[in-house]
Amino acid sequence: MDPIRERPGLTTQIADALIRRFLETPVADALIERVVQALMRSPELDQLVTQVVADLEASPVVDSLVDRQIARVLEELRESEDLQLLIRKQAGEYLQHLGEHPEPVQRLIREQSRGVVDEFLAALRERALAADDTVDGWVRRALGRA
Amino acid sequence: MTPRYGGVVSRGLALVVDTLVLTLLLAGTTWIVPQLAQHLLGIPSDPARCGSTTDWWRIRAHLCQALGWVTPVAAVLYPPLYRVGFWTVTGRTPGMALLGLRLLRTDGRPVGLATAIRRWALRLGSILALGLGFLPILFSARRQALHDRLAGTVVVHDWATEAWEPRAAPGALIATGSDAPSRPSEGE
Repeated sequence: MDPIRERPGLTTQIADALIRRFLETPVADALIERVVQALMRSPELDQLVTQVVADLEASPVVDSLVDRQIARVLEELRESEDLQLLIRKQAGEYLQHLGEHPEPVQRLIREQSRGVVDEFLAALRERALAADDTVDGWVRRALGRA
Repeated sequence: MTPRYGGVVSRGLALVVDTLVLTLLLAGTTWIVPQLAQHLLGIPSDPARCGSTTDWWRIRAHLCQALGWVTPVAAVLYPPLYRVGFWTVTGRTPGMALLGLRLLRTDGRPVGLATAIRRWALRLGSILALGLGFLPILFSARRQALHDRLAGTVVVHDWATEAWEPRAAPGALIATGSDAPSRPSEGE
């Protein structure tokens, strides 16, 4: 009787052992490296990856999965007392800092307000100037002058 | 670089703004003077409660009667004081400043008190002549109203480089030597 035929699991074990032994050799390392490099250089892999990514992006299943995960994480964050505590603490510190040093914020608001007023004035003046010229044109035409 | 002259639209808008400012000033005066008189001197704001003014020593009664003159006097005095004052001190009324206009003499120099008074009086004439004195703004090369021509003044845009022409126009300011008008800086 052939012992291998009597014990089919033995074949698998021997194959596993042989493959494991082979994979530990430098030859296997070099071989795997060459295969990987060849794959990385191949345009087919690029196309494949692009295709997979595009499919994932367009996939409603992935969208739904991402949405659910985001909703879950946000819900957890919203209910997290630690996070609320941290936000309150940070907000308090920021407000206190702003109360002690309001100059940068005041300067920003002032500059923004001035910018809005300057823009308005510039637009008003440009339009008035253009309207002056338009009226002059009308008068010249009405008087038959060039 | 020569300036662009203020036309009928720019000057009209400036006039509207100045009229609004004057109206507010007049309304403020009409309201605040009787209030001050009442709170500081105890003078009633209602002329019917002024009391007798037959005796000269009834100062409060006389002041109370005088309060009725505040609005007419202010209405007469404010416009010339406002315009002549601003033309002389800054060269522009608030309305003109908003529209980026400036009043100059035709030689490019700033307007002095005498010129400002003369222009205001002549301008009053233009208004009393049913506004006909303003018509030359539409026809003259330097967009001068009749009172501008007679007072030797021009109204120019001075708010941006784009409002200044790169070369002398037929109606350009006559500027010579140190009298040449300098480009007024932005935000003046």
